[in-house]
Amino acid sequence: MNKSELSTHSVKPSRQSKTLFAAIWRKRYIYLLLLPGLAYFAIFKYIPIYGVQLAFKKYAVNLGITGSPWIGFSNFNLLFIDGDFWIAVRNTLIIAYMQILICFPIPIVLAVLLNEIRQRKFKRTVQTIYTFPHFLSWVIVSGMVLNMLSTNGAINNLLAVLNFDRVQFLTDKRIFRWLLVFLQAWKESGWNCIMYLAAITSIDPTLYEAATIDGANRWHRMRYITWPGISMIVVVTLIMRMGSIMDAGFEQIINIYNPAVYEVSDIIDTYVFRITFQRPANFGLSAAVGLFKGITNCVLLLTTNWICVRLSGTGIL
Amino acid sequence: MKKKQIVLRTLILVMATVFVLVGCTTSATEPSASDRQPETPPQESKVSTEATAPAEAAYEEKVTISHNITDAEKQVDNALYTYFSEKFNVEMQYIPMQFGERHEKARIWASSGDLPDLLWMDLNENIFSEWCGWVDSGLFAPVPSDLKAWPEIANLFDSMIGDELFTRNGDCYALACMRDMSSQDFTVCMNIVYRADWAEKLGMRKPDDVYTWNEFMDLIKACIEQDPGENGAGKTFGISAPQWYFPDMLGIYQTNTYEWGFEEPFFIVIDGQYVWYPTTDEYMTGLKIAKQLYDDGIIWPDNVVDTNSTMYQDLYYAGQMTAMCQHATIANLRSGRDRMAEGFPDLNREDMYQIAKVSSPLDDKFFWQKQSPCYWSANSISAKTSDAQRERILDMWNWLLTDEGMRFRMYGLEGTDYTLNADGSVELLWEKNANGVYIDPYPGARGFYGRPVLNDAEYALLNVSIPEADRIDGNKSWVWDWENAHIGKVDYNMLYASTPNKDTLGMFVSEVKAKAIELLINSTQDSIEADWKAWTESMMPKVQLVLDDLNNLDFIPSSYEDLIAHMSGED
Amino acid sequence: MTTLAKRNMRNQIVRNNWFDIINILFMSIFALLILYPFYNSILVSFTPQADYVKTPFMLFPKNLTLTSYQIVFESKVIFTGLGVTIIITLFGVVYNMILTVLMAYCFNNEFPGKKFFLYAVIFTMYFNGGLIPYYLLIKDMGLMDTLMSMVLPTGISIMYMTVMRKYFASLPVELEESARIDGASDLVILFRIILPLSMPMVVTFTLYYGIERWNEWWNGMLFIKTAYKQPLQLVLRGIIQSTGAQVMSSHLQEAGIVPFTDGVKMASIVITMFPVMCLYPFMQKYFVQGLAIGGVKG
Repeated sequence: MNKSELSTHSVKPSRQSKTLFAAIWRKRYIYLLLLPGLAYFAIFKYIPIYGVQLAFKKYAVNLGITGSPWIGFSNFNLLFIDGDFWIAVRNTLIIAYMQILICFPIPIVLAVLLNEIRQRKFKRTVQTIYTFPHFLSWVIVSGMVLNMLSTNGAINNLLAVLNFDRVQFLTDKRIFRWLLVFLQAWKESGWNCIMYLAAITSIDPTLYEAATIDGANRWHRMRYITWPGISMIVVVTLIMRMGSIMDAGFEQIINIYNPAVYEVSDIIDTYVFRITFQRPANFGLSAAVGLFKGITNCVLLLTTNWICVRLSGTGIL
Repeated sequence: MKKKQIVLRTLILVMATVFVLVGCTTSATEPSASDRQPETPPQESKVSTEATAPAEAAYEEKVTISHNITDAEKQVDNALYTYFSEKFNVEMQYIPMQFGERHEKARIWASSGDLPDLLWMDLNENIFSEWCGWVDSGLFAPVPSDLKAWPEIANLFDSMIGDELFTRNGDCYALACMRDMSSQDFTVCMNIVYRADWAEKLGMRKPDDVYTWNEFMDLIKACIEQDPGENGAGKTFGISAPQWYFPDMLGIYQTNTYEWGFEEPFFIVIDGQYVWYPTTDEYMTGLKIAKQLYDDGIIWPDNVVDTNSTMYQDLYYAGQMTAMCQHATIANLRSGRDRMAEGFPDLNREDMYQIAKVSSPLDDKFFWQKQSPCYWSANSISAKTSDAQRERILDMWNWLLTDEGMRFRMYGLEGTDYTLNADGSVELLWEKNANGVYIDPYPGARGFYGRPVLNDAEYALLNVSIPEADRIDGNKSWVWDWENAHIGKVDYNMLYASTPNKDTLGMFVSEVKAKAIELLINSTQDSIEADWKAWTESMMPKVQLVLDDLNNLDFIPSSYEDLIAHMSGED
Repeated sequence: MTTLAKRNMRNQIVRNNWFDIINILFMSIFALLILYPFYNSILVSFTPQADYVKTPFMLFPKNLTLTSYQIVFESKVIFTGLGVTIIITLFGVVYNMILTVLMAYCFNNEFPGKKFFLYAVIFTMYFNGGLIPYYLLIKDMGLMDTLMSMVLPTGISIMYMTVMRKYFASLPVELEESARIDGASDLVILFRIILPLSMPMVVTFTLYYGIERWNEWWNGMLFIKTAYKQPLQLVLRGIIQSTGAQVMSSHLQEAGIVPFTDGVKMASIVITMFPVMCLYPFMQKYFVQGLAIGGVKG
């Protein structure tokens, strides 16, 4: 960051456009190097963006996107009177908050505890195991999970052997959100804990030595050295997660939900998927939801960034 | 520092080499991948020489026809394809897709003007109104009204009403995939198949496999408790259904005494007015019965998780399910019994997969059966095709409907797979397995050839490659339903009506099912009625719009005869 | 040291040990919790149907069988799919890395319009034109039914680019400055100074992109129209989602193979995971460091 500020000072254009041009010329290679990336975004992200206008149109196949008739805010009206849409908004928020409450602290606890382990080999092995599920797609994880959690699956068989009743993990409305959160934690905890672990490792070890000599026990050291060492990054991560509250995990839910639990697990993204593909296709309506979500997310991002700048000096952008 | 530079340089070098190498290999392999020549095994080369060279090899121009299909890779690289493509001088470009994503793909293709030359899609309540829109937008080419050059297609069109249903603005736009027995008014044989061997073992089997509702449910309970398959405690399950019959097949259908069936058409005519069936008392009674079945553990608890309709059969074939709802067609009987025989070679092949007739829960003498829309899927020709392509498609279609074509698709090639006796009967040359059942040399390779008439049509009766027992049982079941059951009819008038609100809002079929499933599992006996009423009332504002449209239609059928008379009078 | 202090120390060591034991125990249980689903999948994929059905709860296999794998490998598209996936992974990673490194380097510099471009890039995370324009774009570019349709649209992950940019920013400025004074161009600085210092980072993101490309199926599902050009994941997804009534080839039928649907599904899952499973333990260092660096700086 320092460096960039430095160079800003040196390059800062003064009033004349001549200097601006000179500055651009001086950086001509930068623009050249930037070109491939910008071309990628221009072609694959900006060209298709004209599709956003569908939010205000009724899509007609033969007229194309640009030729379809404008219908004003009808799509949004249709959306806002649809009870399912509001259920989806509610579920998105509930599931995202549950994830923050439960999935967020687990990696921190894991990191702190992992840090206390002195057996190097053991530490490395469990770390490998913890992070592995992150690299599998939800299609695969859901395949394994559906097999394991079905009435006939391994978990229920185990329960039966231990003389418990079989549990309908996948269809019980009361259980399902917890299952989503649990699976999220199962898949991502180990991965997310690496970041905290790295922060802990960067704490000056002499602090621990000094504390031990002063008679501090494990708990004291965790409480008064480790925690302050990572609290900043915890706060920043938490704020960032709050900023993406509209994302409750589309891939996960689309792969394991079912009609019995739609009411508690249909989130905005799955709702869009269903209005696009499982009713008479309405691309206008799904464009409207996309726009709604994009604007909400943008506002959240800017707010989050502002808070982060306030707190830590650097933004997330 | 220096070391790192070396590492970096080697890395870049390696990357560059890989880049170049990959570039070479792809350019080298790609053409061979697209017009891949089958590594002709000896048998196949024999075919191409022995098989009578297509007499009417009048096709000088080679055309390619793209067509979407499941199991695309199995369609080519076999003797059937070699023969077919030579005969019609055609290259079929099969576009792969999964069965579960057929609506999605059709919608994407149509919406972006990128249709296959011949699009296969469902043409039922889910997508029919959209298809109408596509026709009106000029995406499809009509089937010529003059079918003199294609007499078999003309014959087929005479015997079915699919062409009338798919006619818009005076032209027919779809070649329907015909199913079921036209002689019996396209009654679909929706049935329950069950483990008759288990019933026998428990001494509960009824003659002719005809059960009252209570008898059959008692049988399922007994199987779950007494475990005749010796699977261990808690490892035997009751009854399952594919997603499109769940939960309706388990009590909700059987309480319907009206003239009209209602699986797809959730609106039925009562006293000359369209009514949303889920608001009727009959539906409520059926839902409560289904709820009781779920609470008693008779319904397989994971049925709802099976959103792709795949797992419901798995447990049956694994020997853990007592019964399942199934189209008990001859083709399904054959494949189901083969699967069971593979898993349990020591048990009786037929009894492991037997059709049960189960009465309504309300009346021991009342057997409900339903008519299905006779064409659940159809093929539309893209407007972008050339005349040559269209003619070739119709030629192929026509040939597949001839006796020769039917033999080709049922048995394969004359000489290698079958010989024709002087009296016209067929002698099959296929190998047999240990059970004495013929082994199909081309499994899954008939996707396209089966399009004009689906596998489960009456042609299956004549198919000698299917064990006789399966053909007899399948036919018996058909006849039994025809003679004994009350058949809920399809209201084509409503199903294929195109009105503004129906086209945008749909028929609420998936909504009704999803809610029924949710309540089945997550409500209680006491609260289900109130929950259901509350939900239907909350839906009413939207539903009423569609109902009003329907009740304002020019024609509302008073009976099925009335409907048919109206439809045939129209053209 | 006084005896009292010594005793204190000893107590502490004892207490520490208790904590350690509980901690290790807890960590092990958590590790088993994560491992079990994998173990279960592998187990089911190697078990004959009859064993699986009859055992109340299976922890160890009684008999092993390869039939599930035989059935999966029956399909020719598995092998072509593997080839396709390898090609798109190699191409894709090179393409992704070049674009990402260049962009990260540029955004680490100051230049007029930087803010504008940066926001323009971030904007695309939140607004997109939807499916239809995307499909039309690929069609109009002539990429339909080509392997490049699964490579070119992947481009840059904004998150990786941001982390990489932050890493570049954390490198000592002096090297770059002295090089500039010596008249080195941006290309020279990037390839001679920045990248050699960022090798761990480069490896890390190569691996991340590699995994993403390896898991590719969505673009394949949309744009591929030839069975033999489908990527591996699409093929396996088909197997996982296909019906139990799937037909087996005639020679498997002749061999009297008993198909076990759950087994076949699990076998395809295991096959999909296999390369990652093999590669991961050895590459873990690289996987981890990227996130660690990004996180600390972030």
